Amino acid sequence: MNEKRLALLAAQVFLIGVIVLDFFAKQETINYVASNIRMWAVVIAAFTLTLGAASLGSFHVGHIRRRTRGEWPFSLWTLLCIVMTFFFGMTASAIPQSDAAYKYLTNTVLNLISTATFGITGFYMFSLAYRSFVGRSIDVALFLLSGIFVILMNAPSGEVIWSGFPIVATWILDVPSMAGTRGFVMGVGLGTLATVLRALLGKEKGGVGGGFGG
Amino acid sequence: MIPVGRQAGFVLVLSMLIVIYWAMNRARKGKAPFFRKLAAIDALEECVRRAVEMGKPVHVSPGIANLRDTSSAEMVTGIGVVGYTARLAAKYGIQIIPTCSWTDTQAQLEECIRLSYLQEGKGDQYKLGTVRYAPQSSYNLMVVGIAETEKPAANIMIGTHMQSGLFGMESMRRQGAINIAGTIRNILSALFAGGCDYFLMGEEVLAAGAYISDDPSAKGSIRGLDMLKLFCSALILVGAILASVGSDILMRILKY
Repeated sequence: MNEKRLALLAAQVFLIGVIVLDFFAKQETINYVASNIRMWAVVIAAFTLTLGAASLGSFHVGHIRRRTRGEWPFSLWTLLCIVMTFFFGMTASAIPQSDAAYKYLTNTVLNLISTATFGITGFYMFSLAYRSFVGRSIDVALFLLSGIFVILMNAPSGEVIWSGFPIVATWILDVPSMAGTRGFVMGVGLGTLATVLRALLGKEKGGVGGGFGG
Repeated sequence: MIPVGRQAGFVLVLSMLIVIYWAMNRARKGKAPFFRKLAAIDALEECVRRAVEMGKPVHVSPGIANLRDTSSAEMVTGIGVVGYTARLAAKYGIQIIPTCSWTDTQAQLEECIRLSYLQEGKGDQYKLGTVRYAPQSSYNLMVVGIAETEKPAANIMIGTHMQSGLFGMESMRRQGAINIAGTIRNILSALFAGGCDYFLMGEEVLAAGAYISDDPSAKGSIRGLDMLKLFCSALILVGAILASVGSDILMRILKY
């Protein structure tokens, strides 16, 4: 292990150690150092905002420069919106008109688009459910059956059709589903511990240091 | 220093870390554990080869979280999968489209992809700015846009996904892409199970990092994990028996 890597590993062990200890210990120095480390993380993350802005900018400027067919007008519009929002947002506290314009953009454009996007989820859920419930195996049959019961439990008409729907669906959710979920959560919790240890020792490819070459 | 109420937890977590470390060391000394096949990870190479044949790119995303919250373990694994896919892409000479919705993740992804290209001896082909970023509010639509305009041959979404997973999976499927996904969220796991060609569920996502690693000690951590699962299951069983006979001694010990 070279010196650079050893220093990185030592720093990681120290930082993560303090954060973990902070959860368990009630000791002023440890709690203070941990809160500072968390603050540094936020500050360091803020530096990466420039990377995001540069990436977004260069992608859309590239489309405009190349006049990519069917793309460049949208890229131009995106950049215009970004510049406009940035300008109104930055000057909102100084110029009242900017504040009003920023609120207008948020309330009448962004919120509506977000709501519309959320609405699309319903259509995707339907198409996914249709595909999931088509099949001729015992697994799909169980999936379909529990799906029907749970949907009809939540639908107002379910109880009107048969009063047993909520009872059966509640049992499905409370017994088999809960048992599976608890096993699932236990595995995830322990897996998280193992991932943290691998990342800490530089054995995880996605962790700091890459884990490349062990 | 450690108050009552946290002491048992501290001892347990510390013991668990020691067990995992011991298993990693044991594997490093040559006793690597048996690993069952993870079809979703094995299919990554198949996806990249398909992309080569079709002359199309591959979309890959570690998810919509950052590296500073409770999803960071899942994100780290997701970034590892992106790195592995980037290595395959460099090997076969295809384009990958990595996406994310946080800038700190973007920086980590860029570095991971750069290292992957270097590892394949194709560092000159890596371009800074490969990763596409969109804030969380517009990330879903960016993925749909990529599906509609660039028509990737495969969509790999292993990491922290919520609504984005559904958007990515369905829009990419419409374009005929293979979907490989994985999450530790049990609600989304049901959606992925129904809609993906291959998927990783729960702890399989977290084990993926060890699976793709060449390092035996990383694989060893999974053996440690299995031992701990057995221990926890035994603890649950003992707790259930004790509770059935009216004893709360285990609860009192764990609350200490």
